[in-house]
Amino acid sequence: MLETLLHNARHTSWPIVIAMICLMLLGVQAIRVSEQADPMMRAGSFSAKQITFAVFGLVSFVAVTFIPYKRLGQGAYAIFGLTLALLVLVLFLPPIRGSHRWIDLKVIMLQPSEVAKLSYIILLAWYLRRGGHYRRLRGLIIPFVLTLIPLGLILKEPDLGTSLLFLPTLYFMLFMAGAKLKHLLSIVAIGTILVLLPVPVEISPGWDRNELLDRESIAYARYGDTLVVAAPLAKMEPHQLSRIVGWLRQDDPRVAMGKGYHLHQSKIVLGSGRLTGTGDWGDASVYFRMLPDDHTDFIFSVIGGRWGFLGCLLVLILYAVILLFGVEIALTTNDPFGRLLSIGVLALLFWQVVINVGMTMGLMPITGMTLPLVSYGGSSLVINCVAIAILIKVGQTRSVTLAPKPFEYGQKRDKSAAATAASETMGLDRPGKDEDDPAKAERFKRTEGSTIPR
Amino acid sequence: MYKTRVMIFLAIIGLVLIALIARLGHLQLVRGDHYLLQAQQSLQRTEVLPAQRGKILDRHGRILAMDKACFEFCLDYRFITDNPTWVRRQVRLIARSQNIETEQARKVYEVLRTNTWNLARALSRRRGLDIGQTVKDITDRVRAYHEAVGTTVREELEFHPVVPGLDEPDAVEASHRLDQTIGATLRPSHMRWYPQQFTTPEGDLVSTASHIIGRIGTVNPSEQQRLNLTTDEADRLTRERMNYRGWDQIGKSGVEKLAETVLRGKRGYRRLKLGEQIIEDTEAEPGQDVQLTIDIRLQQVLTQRLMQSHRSGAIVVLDIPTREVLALVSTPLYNLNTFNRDFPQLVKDVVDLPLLNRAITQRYPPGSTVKPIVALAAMADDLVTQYTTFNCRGYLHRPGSFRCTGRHGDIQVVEAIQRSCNIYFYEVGEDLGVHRLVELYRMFGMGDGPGTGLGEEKSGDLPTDQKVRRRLQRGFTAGDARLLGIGQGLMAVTPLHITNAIATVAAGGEYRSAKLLVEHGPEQIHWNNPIPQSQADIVRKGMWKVINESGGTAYRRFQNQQGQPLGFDVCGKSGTADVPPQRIDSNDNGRIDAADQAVRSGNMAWFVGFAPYRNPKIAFAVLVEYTPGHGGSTCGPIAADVVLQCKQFGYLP
Repeated sequence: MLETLLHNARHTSWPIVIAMICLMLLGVQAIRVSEQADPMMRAGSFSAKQITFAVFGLVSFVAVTFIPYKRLGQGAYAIFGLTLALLVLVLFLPPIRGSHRWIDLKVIMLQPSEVAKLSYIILLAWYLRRGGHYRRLRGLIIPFVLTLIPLGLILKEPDLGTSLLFLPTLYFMLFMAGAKLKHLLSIVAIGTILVLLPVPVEISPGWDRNELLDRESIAYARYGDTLVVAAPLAKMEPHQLSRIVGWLRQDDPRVAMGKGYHLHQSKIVLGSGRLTGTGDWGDASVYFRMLPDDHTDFIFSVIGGRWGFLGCLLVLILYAVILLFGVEIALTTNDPFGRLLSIGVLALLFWQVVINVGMTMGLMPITGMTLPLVSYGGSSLVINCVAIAILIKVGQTRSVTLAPKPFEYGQKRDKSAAATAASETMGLDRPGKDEDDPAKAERFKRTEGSTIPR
Repeated sequence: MYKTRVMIFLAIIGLVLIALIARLGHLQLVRGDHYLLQAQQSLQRTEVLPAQRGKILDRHGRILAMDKACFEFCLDYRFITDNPTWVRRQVRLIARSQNIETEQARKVYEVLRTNTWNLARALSRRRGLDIGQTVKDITDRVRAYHEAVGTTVREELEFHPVVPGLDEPDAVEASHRLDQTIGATLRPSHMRWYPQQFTTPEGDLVSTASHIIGRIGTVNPSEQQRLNLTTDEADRLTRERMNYRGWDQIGKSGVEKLAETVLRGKRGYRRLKLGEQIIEDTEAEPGQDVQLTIDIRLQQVLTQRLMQSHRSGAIVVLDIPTREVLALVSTPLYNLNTFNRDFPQLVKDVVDLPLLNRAITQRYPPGSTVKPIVALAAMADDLVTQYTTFNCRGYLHRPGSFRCTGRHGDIQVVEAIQRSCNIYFYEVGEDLGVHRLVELYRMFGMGDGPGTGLGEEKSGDLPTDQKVRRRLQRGFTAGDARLLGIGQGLMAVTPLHITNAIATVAAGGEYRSAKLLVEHGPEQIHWNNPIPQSQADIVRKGMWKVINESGGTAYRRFQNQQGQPLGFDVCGKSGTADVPPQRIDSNDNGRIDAADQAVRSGNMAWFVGFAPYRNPKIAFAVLVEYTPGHGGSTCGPIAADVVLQCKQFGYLP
């Protein structure tokens, strides 16, 4: 036991752990800032709760590092099934704050969509770990279906932010697994064309002046009584439309004070931090109270306002540390499931950061999305801790002692069968190789267990 | 290959992170100062310090209208509209302060909400207001504003006065109940107070000179649009201080409207940083007082005298040398202090028309009161002399048309005035012709407004070729001229017009427009009508005889209470004008015609005059509407009291 512990400690990627803890501490501090600024929040209640969440998160973190990650893979379908059940269940529960996102467990508000993120990447990694089939276009159908099921359910809650995570994460994982670039790119191209496809819309007399102005401002063109708009905009409800308008037309003062008010406030709080944050602490802190959701989705703005550009840079660097060392783990792991799992965790983390930070700065439309490890919220914090724990576990399990690393030299030397097999299982093609080579499957079987976790 | 893909993955991450950092740098480093400024600006609070409105004073400095400190009961707009976010916040606050569960706090909120509406309703009722209407007005106004701006406006986050003008006891009582409410507050404010009031014989409390003082009310959007300065016309501070805002009061009628710019003043403007540090401070500039030429005591005494015997009428007293208006009575009148509450009844009274200022707004045929003027003109044009004689048979050509008040036989100008002989003036009027008569009336100021500057005053209605052609589809006839000669037919003027015309006669032809405001009023217009002294003396003599010689239309009407003569010489002229009965739109067809019910009928009884005979000081007119009596008998005794009171108040030597 002690030996295992020592081994684990020795093989833990400590920079990731330190960066993670730093982010959590920063989050608690930022939440304290936001609640000090807002007299309506019971002072200390959110930051105290967040500390509890953080402790719980760290406990889960340590606990997960004791579970061999392969076990997760073996239970992937069960976990995924359970998650789907939760996602279905939550739709039938009474709505909380207008959406079916939470299951009230009295002690904690469980957010199934957060769980879904994690169980989804485990499943996907488990499914994709055997190479080959996704190199054909037809083989991409199942991964896409696996994505669309939770995505659809989460979209129904509605939780647009979380559902937006799935497709980019899928792409990164398919890409890393070795799906053909031309397939991936053509799907993106078709999607883009569909999204931007211009369709005509009759101007409805039911629209008031503002709605007409809004719709016209994001239309491609107007001919008389017909607007030409991108296809998804044609069907959108006014409240959905207002988010798009608030984002695309954020510099229009009319929009900034109306539809884009939230973003406008966020940019003011963020921007007013300048290089080192608000030295004149009293003033701007009061301003934070004008920013709704400042302790959850807009915590990054609070950090920017309080600690300025340097504070924000620190946060992004901490994420970069996790991503960089995470990639190092993915790179040095031989086990395809481990590789995909770590890539999945990193992709998930990365997209959460991009969507959240992007929306606070007006680079993306506002969709509810937490800043991982920093924003207030138990489910999100714990799930992200667990995800990183899985990453760490993959790191601990990799056979770092193997030298030379089979993967690194696999292609160049083409000597070691194990190395070739490892490379093959990741589905990386070599010129002249037949994809349906029966020998490949044979080799693949042998490879199972070639890197034995200890 | 896997490695390559991992590197591509890393590169994508790196590039995206760099893009985020670039945007961050743009927001915080490049545009940071701009955003900081915006943050600071939205943290600033501006305060508006209301300016006290100037007082309206009478000629001796007695207060007719003043701002009195009071309180107004205000409700938060978000409370009024049950804004869900605001309500949730209040519930949370209650839960926090009383340490109770949200569900309980919601119940507490509901109780407080009911209390607030009950209090608002009770206070409204006491002030004679309808809370439902007030609230609807507020929400309509704010919604319209919201629509116009297209986004949330400041008014949606503010308190709005729901019950204005609460006096001390009301405010104290309300403040005791305020603890048990939510979203409500009491704010110190000003209300207009009109101290001059008396009780009518019918038992109503009314404000003396209510028509002249006028009233103030909440500014309406068209007034705002008309009066508010735009960005091109004035700088921000001036606009903040001068422009009318949603709940501002503005003069709506009378002197309050006429002297609005003088009375209003400029509000103070204060900008504060958070922490109440003052950045910019401009004191409020109170409005100036406005003094009237009216003697409010005389006005009240004369009003009461007129009301003793008659429902509706007017009295005007002018100081002849200056043409200052000493009294401008119109009855019935109303109570300015309770105007808003009484308004629905006042408007509904289409018979007595209490809102009408009869002394300057309503035009009446002047009847025989114009005869001295016509006589002057006829002599000036050498149509008649003192000795020119006409024969009065009681009718002009045929019995039944163009009749006289009696059979005067051979009559000359002095007796014609004394006995008010129509035949004499039919003849003279026909000789003068319509155009000359109209010109004549204009020379005595009847063509223009009387000159007080009040928005309600009307210029006299005198016939012109176009007007007659348009109205009657004909040209002038001899009959028109004859009727104009006795002040009937195509002409109508206000009591103030006729008073000033008589003052002009008394002053030997010197015309000045009437003056109501000591300062700040319109420029006084002045001209001299060339009337030979001898001719003026003849007319004045005739007017003296009206009162002082047997056969005069008001002989023995000028006596004091003991039945004694007044003891000093007054000149006068009675008038009894024929008018169609007053009808109301009883069949609701939107116009008033012969089919409608006649509510009042009778003559318009006049008595005009001046005193004293030599070196005249005051001119006066008394009008009583729809009386069966005649000018001399109905108005003579009132006119006698007018003169007596003027003597008592020292306006006569």
